[in-house]
Amino acid sequence: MSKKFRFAALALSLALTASVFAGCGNSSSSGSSSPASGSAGAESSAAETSKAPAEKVEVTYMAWYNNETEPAETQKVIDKFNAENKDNITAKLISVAYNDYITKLNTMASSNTLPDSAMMSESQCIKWAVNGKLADVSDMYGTDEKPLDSLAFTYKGKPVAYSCANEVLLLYYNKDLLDKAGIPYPPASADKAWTWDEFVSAAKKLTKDKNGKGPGDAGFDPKNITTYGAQVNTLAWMWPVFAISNGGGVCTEDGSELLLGKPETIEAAQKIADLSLKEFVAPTPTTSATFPTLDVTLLSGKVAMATGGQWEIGVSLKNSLKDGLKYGVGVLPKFKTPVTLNTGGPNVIFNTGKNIDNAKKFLKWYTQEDNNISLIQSGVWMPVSQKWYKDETLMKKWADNEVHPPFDQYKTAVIDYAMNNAKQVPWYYLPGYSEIEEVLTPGMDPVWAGTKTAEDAIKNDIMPKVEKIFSANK
Amino acid sequence: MANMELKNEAAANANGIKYKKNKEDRINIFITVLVILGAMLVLFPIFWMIRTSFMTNLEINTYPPALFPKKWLFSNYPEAMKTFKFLLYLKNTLSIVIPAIAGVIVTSCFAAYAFARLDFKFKSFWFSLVIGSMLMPGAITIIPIFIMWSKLGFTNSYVPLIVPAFLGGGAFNIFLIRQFMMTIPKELDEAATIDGAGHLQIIFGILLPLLKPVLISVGLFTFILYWNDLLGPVIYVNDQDKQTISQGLATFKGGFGTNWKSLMAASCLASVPAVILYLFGQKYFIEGIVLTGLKS
Amino acid sequence: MRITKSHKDNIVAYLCLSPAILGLLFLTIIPIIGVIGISFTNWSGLAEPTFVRFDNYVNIFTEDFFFYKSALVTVYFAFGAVITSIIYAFFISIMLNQRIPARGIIRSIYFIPYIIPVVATNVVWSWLYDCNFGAFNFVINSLGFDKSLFLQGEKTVVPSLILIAVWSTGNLIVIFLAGIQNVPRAYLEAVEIDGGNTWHKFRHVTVPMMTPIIFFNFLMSMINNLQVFVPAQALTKGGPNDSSLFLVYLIYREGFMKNNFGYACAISLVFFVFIAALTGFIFKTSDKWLFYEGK
Repeated sequence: MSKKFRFAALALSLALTASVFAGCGNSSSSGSSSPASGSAGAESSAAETSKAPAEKVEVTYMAWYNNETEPAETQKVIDKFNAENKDNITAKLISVAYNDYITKLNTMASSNTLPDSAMMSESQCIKWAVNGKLADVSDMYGTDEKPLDSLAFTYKGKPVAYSCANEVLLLYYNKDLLDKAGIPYPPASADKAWTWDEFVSAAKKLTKDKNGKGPGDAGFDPKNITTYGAQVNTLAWMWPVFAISNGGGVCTEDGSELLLGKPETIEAAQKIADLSLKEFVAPTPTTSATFPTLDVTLLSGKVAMATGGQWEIGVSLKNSLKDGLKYGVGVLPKFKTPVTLNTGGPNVIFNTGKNIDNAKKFLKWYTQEDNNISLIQSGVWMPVSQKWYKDETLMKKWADNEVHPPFDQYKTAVIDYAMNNAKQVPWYYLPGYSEIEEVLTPGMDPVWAGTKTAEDAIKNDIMPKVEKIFSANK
Repeated sequence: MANMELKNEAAANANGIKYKKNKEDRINIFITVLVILGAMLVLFPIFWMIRTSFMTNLEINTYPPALFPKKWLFSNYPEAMKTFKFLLYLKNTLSIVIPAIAGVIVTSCFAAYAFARLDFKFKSFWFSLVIGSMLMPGAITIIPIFIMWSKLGFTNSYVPLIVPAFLGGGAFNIFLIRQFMMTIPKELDEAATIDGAGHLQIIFGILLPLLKPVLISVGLFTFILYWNDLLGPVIYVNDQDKQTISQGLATFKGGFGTNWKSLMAASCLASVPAVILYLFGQKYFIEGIVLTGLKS
Repeated sequence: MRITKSHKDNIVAYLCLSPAILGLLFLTIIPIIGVIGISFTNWSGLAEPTFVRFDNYVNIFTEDFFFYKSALVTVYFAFGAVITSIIYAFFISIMLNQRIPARGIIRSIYFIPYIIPVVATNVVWSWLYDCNFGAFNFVINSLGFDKSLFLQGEKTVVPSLILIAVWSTGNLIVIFLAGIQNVPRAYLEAVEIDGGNTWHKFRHVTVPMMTPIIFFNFLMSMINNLQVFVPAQALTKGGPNDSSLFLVYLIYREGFMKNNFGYACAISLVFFVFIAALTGFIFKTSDKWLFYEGK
């Protein structure tokens, strides 16, 4: 009998422990600041105590991250802010994995528990402005400290957010593979950009099946390609860059007119699809869905040339340098004009918070290059204000290091390209963009898979819905 | 004459038994081979995970895939642990899981007892309500429940994750325990009642020991459920230093590709406590089953 | 005397049930009332909701072409996964109950997939299924067959997900094994004395004695698998071409990704009614083949 009761006693004591645990969880959450992880946290709390016990205001900032090292790097910048103890504001970072970010944000919005500020999902930003959730940030910067105009998300003529960083689309390549095939590197300046045909013919020479044969050779086996010459990202916001180069796009730059149905857009989309369907030089999105990070894709020779954002330098490419990756960066191929897209996660301030002014102070500090230089030097970000793109010493300060490609190449292929050839992704200004993207993404799938032509899909499936959304949001 | 017949019969019997024994042996050998082959197939994905956790990202992505790494890269583990703070996550996860298991076992036992053994008003109503609550897709009640917890001021804590375990312990577990209780002869507790035992004594003294295997199963299921839960911690936990194991694992899957070797190494680490716990619990689990088997 | 006993029973029963009733109230009933309320609005979580009557429900059946496909693939997956994994788990547990060498170790092996964190197993499987560089296609290709698209193919995605579900059904095996061991030895010996063989024991004792467990496992897996979510979220995002757009994932997508909480709530209530009807049907038919020892 005692044995039986021992089990019961165990269960009861477990229950007691549980309530103690539950109490702990509660008390530490209501406490002012739980001990932050690592030594950085200790530092900042030491700084806190040394100052006069003036009233502290906490500003919460939520951001997603693309890889596992990003939260710590962001935290370092935030710790710097807290150590400087600006206006008695402390910032608290909430890091959420990219895949769960929108879920988290929407849950918080629906229960009125949004943080003071956050990095918003790009495509959703204007939608939140339309719904009146974002504070007006037009007075955040003085005239001489403003970020680039191209980085302002605007609604009804007013800026509602500025990108935390600048990013553009580029063409990366594995030097070894191009050397082996005897192909010159893709041009590193916009005025020399490859035409689409030059790009395709280079890709053909780089593509190899498992017997080492290319698309031009007899007995080429397109079902067993081991190296693809090119990979063009078909994300709904990325592929239209080629449509713009061809004179089309999603919409005009003032957002007044749709360009999606134009023949130039359709032609560019079909050419991109044909890379994998007709030319057999590129993986279909189906195939590339399980590709690893870009550095490994290039290093392993799965792909010889690939389009990707500037952030890849810091997020992925630098990780394989020690394994012998030799990569270069060039400008995108063009149809008619050399064009790239610029974007960057919008830092927003929610108007639901009580801390709007303090949040502005924090965000302003946070987006100044002198403060977040470590993120820029790591290759993930590019600066947001103009002088960092014009002044050679400043440029070298952020781009001339072992993480970035050789400075001469990077300067023309990235810095000048970003200054002179970048157009905004429409999510900067187009109300209803998120809904359009929700139609565009699945709508283009049959095009990339080859079950529909671009003309059929865009004209018959996509345009009727997009036009409806477009006019509803006008 | 009669003697002879008897002898023949005995011989025939012996032959029969021998034949039967042989046949059973053959069946057993067949089953053994089948089961071992199956086990190898079942283990393959796990082997693949372990083998991948010792490779470079490049080697993981070469084709044809290699069965073993060229060089066993133990350094993947310390590298993954730089960002995957295993001990911290383990502590956090356990401080959710342990109270949750306790809550589930205690409260679902009581509820199951009421349903399996007691007659009371509106019994079938409550029972169908409990079962019915399983049918609601959990994803959709998240918002109202989240609003409730945030009104109570419990966001960014483990309370919303733990407390539900003490509120009934989940319909699944109640049902599981009730089904098992119903296979235990009622005469046992009737006899105890005649001897003057109260309800608590019946639950803890008579039923609980017999229920041990199912309780261990329930404990294990609860463990797995909480160990794997990602949506809950994502929604309720904000602080970096309060993250759980599954949140930690999710960080390796980025928006633009995945750091496979670190993810695999972290996955192996995350599996270790679960496997150890299982192997530890399994001993009691099987012991408990044998005991109840003998009793009935 | 009789009345007081049943009166006391009432009190004890409600005491025992009080945590569960509180849970029902706060974690199910009140939230569901909330969900019902939301389903009659266009609430986005961002702006104030407006009342839209039955618009959301009408849309489900008239305008939303995702819903039918989603319901279809959900039922396809659920039945496929439940039937396959019940058969698999039942026969494995029967075999694991025989006198085989190293039984404990082999049993553990079959349970282990259930123990490994889901995040990890999903990653491994996506890796094995990779259509270009995956191990499965390597084997298929070496044997001279055409590569399969697995998770990337419209026809292959659900069977591929079912295989993962079956592989990780350690919980069913646990429950079956526990049930088999509870089959009274005396009954089995009785069959032996009557001259029955292994098949007779299996057919006339093990299977009938196991019916409550089979029923339980069937019902539970049906409910769980109809609510399948994680594979769609972690592996396929509902694709390709919505071939794995399971209902809960559709609900999640509408609510959390597209801010259509009102619409998502309406779908989930329709879905709830469907599951409830199906479960009720299973319960109704269960009397015919269930066998309780206590009865």
